[in-house]
Amino acid sequence: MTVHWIASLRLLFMSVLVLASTLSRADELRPAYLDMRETKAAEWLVRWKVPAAGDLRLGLYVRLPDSCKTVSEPVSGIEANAYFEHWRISCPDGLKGQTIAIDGLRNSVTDVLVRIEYLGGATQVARLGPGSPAFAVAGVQTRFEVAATYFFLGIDHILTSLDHLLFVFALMLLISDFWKLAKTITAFTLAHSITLAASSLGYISLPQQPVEATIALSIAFLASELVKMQVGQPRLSERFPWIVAFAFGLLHGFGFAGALKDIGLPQTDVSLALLMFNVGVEAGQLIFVGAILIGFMAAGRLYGVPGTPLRKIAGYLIGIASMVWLTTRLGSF
Amino acid sequence: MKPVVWLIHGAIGASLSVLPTAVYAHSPVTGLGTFYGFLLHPVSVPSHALLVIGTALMLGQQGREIARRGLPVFGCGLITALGLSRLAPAQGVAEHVLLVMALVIASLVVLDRRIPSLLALALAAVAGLAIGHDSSPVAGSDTGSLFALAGVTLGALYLTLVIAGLSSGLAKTWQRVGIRIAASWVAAACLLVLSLTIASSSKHVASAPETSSEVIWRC
Repeated sequence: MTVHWIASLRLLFMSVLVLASTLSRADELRPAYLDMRETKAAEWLVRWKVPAAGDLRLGLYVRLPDSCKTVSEPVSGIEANAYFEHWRISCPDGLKGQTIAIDGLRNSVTDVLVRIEYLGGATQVARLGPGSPAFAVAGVQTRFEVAATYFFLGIDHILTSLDHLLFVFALMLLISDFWKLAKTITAFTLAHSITLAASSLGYISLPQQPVEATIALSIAFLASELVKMQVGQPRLSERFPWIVAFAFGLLHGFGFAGALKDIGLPQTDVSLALLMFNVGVEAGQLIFVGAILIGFMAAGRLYGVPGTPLRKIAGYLIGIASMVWLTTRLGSF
Repeated sequence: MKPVVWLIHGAIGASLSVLPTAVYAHSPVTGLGTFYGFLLHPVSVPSHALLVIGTALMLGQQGREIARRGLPVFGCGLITALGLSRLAPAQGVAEHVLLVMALVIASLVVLDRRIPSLLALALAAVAGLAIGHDSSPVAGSDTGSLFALAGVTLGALYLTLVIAGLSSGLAKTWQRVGIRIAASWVAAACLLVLSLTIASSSKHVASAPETSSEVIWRC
């Protein structure tokens, strides 16, 4: 019987490796960016960035309103795993109420972040996906609209950031005590809020790629703590989880700031947008933690509290995922 | 080799065979990304939601032991059906069938009778198979398929785990009455949706005659 279970586990690990190899093709999952800036009345600078691997780029193309005419021919190139092009357009009828679409988006799994900046600094931000490949330009947004946009961008960002979620999940596996977990999650939240704000407002700056690679390492650290768990011999991250969460939270905050930098902050209502993005991140994190806790509670009723062997298996799986991310991110340096 | 080990091997094989597929029969929730769209798929399709909730309530009501065994059986059925749909693409299960299944299972919960464990497990397996088959892949990219598959599987399993887990071991009279009330809502919703779909399909048949097999089926 034991031999059969070992055979099953081997097969499971092989399957995980196959899945991991698929996950490592992150190019198709990175978002594309469309940045449009009004440089003078009715004239716009368009910047378009699409994920690429080598000479191959994703087949996504911007479709601007028919009333807009190209003023300068596009200048294009490939840089840092991304295809970019920029050109100038003239839209005599304005952009308000017009539709901007991304051709090819419906058949992809990529999202497109769109940022429109008007003369005077007002901005509109939107996130397009396969289910909504076009949007109508609303014109200058009110404070409430800015708040709502950045709140949902925050939720969207945390729920689609598998690495941050896996870090939180590993913390939840490490800590059995509810109040200890609450303190730990609070420490993580506090820490990433500090660096998110400091980095977004320009007080601290770190290069994004090493930060992303170190975030993968932070998950690997927690995975190794899970694997080395032993009953009666609490490890550092079990004894002082809030210190570990706070220290790594500072790092994860730089990751959130990188995402926010890509999205861009409006020139007016900066603090409101930053606050709402952070609140959105926290709300998304709470949704995730709540769902996992309810799942744990239900599973605990049926199968009992997960024992050390199960946590170790989870540690190995989380470790595999973090190493795949680390390799991929180091490769993009 | 023990049947359960074969079952695990089969489920893993089936899940891997589904990888190079994508988009599903029903549209996912838009604006949430592929994974989250399909994570909510078992909740956003009424017939799936009713069948999952009914099955989970039935497993929970039958006791902790049945629920413990029923959940992996449901999961294996779900993953196997997704795999088989990939190997032999076919039209999904008709909504009527899913609703009738949900109605039968919910009615069993309302009756609050002890049913043979084999029957309970068989119902869980069939429910998993039906939901998996009706979430059959149509077309798309490998990565999209992987995320869609993971989303559907995780969503259905999570919902079943939570409902079956939290309702199992509820022994007090008022708690058992609560489970029966919840099941009666599921049964009532099934009847309502069934009547609406039959009524609308009858109108459709009257206005535009279809092939005889379809007419017979819908009547």
